[in-house]
Amino acid sequence: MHSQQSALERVLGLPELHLQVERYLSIKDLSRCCQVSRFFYALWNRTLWSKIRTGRHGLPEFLDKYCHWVESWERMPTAGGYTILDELDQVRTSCYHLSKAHISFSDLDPCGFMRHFMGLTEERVEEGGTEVEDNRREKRYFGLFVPGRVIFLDNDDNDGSLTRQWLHGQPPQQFVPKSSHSEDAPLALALPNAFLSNQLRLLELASPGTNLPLLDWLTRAAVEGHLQGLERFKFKLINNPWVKGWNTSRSSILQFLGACPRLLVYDAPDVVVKGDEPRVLLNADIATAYPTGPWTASHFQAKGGSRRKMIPLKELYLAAVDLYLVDEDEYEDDDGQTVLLKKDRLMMEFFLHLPRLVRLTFHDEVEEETTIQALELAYLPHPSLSVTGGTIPDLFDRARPISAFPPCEGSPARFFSDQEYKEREDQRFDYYRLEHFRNLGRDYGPHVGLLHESIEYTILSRGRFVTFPWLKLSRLEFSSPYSLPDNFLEILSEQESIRRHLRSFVINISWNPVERDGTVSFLYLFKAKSISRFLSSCDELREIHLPISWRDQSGFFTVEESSLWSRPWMPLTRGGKGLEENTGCRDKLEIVKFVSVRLDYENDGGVTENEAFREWMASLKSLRSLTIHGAGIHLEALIDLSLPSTPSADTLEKKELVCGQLRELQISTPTWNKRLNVNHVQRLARRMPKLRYLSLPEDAIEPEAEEWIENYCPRLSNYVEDGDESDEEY
Amino acid sequence: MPVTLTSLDNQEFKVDKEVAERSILIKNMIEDVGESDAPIPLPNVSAAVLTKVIEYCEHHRNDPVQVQDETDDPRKRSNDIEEWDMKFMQVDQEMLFEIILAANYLDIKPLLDVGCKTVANIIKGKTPEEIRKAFNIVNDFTPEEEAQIKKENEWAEDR
Repeated sequence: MHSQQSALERVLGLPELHLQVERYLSIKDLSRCCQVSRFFYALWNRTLWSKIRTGRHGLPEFLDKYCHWVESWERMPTAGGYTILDELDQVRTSCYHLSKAHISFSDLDPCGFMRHFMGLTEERVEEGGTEVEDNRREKRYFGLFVPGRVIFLDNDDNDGSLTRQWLHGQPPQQFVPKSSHSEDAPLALALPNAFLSNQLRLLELASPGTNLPLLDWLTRAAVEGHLQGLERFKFKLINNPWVKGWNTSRSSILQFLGACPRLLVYDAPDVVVKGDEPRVLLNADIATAYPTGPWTASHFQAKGGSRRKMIPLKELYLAAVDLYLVDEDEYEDDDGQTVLLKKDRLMMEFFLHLPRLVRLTFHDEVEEETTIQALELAYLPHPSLSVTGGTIPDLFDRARPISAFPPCEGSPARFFSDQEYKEREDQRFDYYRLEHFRNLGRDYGPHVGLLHESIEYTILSRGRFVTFPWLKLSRLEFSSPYSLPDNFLEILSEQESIRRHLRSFVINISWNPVERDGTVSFLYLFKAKSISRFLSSCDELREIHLPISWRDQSGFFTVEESSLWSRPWMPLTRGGKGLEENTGCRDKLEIVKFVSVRLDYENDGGVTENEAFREWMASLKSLRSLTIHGAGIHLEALIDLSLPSTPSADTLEKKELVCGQLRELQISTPTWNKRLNVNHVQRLARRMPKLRYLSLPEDAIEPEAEEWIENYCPRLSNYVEDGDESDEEY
Repeated sequence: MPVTLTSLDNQEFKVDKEVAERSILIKNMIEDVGESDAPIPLPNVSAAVLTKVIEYCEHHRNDPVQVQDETDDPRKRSNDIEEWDMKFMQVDQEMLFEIILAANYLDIKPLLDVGCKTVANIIKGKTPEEIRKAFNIVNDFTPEEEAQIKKENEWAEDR
């Protein structure tokens, strides 16, 4: 026994091995390990207290004793939200080594959030009362915090003078709320020390509303020298009928980014970036107020003309971004009055400040209308671009080179002369390296999609970026077949750069393919050829996600010479040279996901289709992951993926190859015809020796078969515990 | 071309080079020394353990090289162990720990992963008493200490 325990101690005593084991254990497991023996206590206690999760009981009772070990804090919503201030206060004053904080304020309504966290007093928040007034107030006010005071500035501070007045000296008293609680409420709002310390590397906040004050609050904290170690910032809007998303100005974001010198990821997908509204918290004029601050240093770099502010950000997630090129635009405000709004045409300056950005994601679910009109990626070194929602008619349109705008703040916009333009284009070509393009467009569904196809056609036919010979695009992703004009696919398949570099091709659909299957088929069928042709041209493809409806399936499987299935990655015509045998990417394809595939044994056509499907599957020697969201899958068809019902030596050999490397199999279908019994499961396990993740529809497995899996083939039992683990571990 | 490995107790094992090179340590040694008939000494691994390690490497000789998991996914699954590996790990605990130490020394990451998952699976879901029983550990807390530690850990029980 002694030597055995010694070996255990030798294993767990090595930090790297201890860490390897620990990452599979939940907090509860760690807690129980601490209660085993003195050795285990010494081994696990620090790990246990390095991650605390607070829920309905608030912070652990003995936090004081172990707070110096706390590195990660996940705050779950509490019953009434009344402990937020206590928790923040305790964490910020004791957990000096906190490096990760995930804080949810979802237990507070917007008023509570403002009152507890942002310091707005109860009277102030609750005056008014109608939803309209609430929304308006939310747009108008933001708070700035100093110890013991809350200051409100509204949109009347057009030139930022009031803000500057406060930043240079005393707060403008006319903006201090007259509430009798004003001296009490902000006690916890003195710029925090430990909670927003320089140790903090990850900060995730979730709240039911108003990020504007919070962003400004964080910016100010950063300017004061806090948050200097922050690497990832995430802000999530919790569903709230009062709040339709946030607007913020790009200067606010830039100021925050500029104030956090190590920030690599800014992830606020619910934030709508507007042109600079006249609400300036910190701008160039007041930078001198912080002569030694990190933000000032970086900003001074920016003021040196050609020297740009070196913000290290690599990933940026935003909602719609206003990229209008026009200088001014008229719009009607809520009261029906016409307002002339200066829309800074220099949105690209925003990106000029982000020279290391490689991943840019726009998510436009908030705005009804298209906001993105033009975008130039010349300044992004190796960008991955993702656009969801809206339309992007001028994306990559070289006729309007935004890069031609002088990258100098405040300069008037102008277009270059032809010669200047050519020089700029030549220069740009050297470093234009878009790697991922994701246009999820607005998924209108099959019916509306037909009407909008012409729009999408315009978008992509104008997206001439794909013809750039230096392009190294590795991933293309689209919202639906409708966002893929046939001629666009033809253009794609003719591009050597695409054929050589593309690794992933994804077409998503967001509606239920089963309900509208007939319409999908109708619309999609005529794209089958061009999609097949395009796929066969990509020699390096590793991953495909495709919707294939059951009616298309017939065409794919058996009818067309160029069908996807009739010949595994069929021969294709290249450059008018006629058909040539091409194994294409068959040997390399690793991940396949199909939506709406139907595997059916109840009619002759189904048998033929299944056979074609299996033949195709047999040729995928590297397939690791197969996902089928089927329109209908019959048990026999699934089982036959791994074992023929009447195996011959020839077919058996072929079937052995079918799933030899398969590690993940996920099947979902609304018409699962019968349940898997022990025999079926044994055959699956035998024929898929590497399978480690099996996901099947609910009740797809008989209890005896489930028991067999748990007892004799636990590698297939992951699906059983998936839900449990996600709740328990973090 | 076979490679000769010498264990702690001076037993020699001839294995194919591609099998031996599942160990990054050995692979680097071969690259450093170049082609040679000289046996490679493994002074930290006994013959019994080396036999098991070679068995593992033989079985996984054609596996693709494991890519370092760069994702910061906090949720790790400990039960995605292949069937063969699970049977392979059905040894007494002393051997299990020796295999893990050998995998760590020889730098065979897949084997190390499987070993650590196996240890984690022994711990997962068990009460302190069950963990003691599983690892044959003596409870050396005083009753007062045990009560105190139990109280300190109450917060983790309902989460």
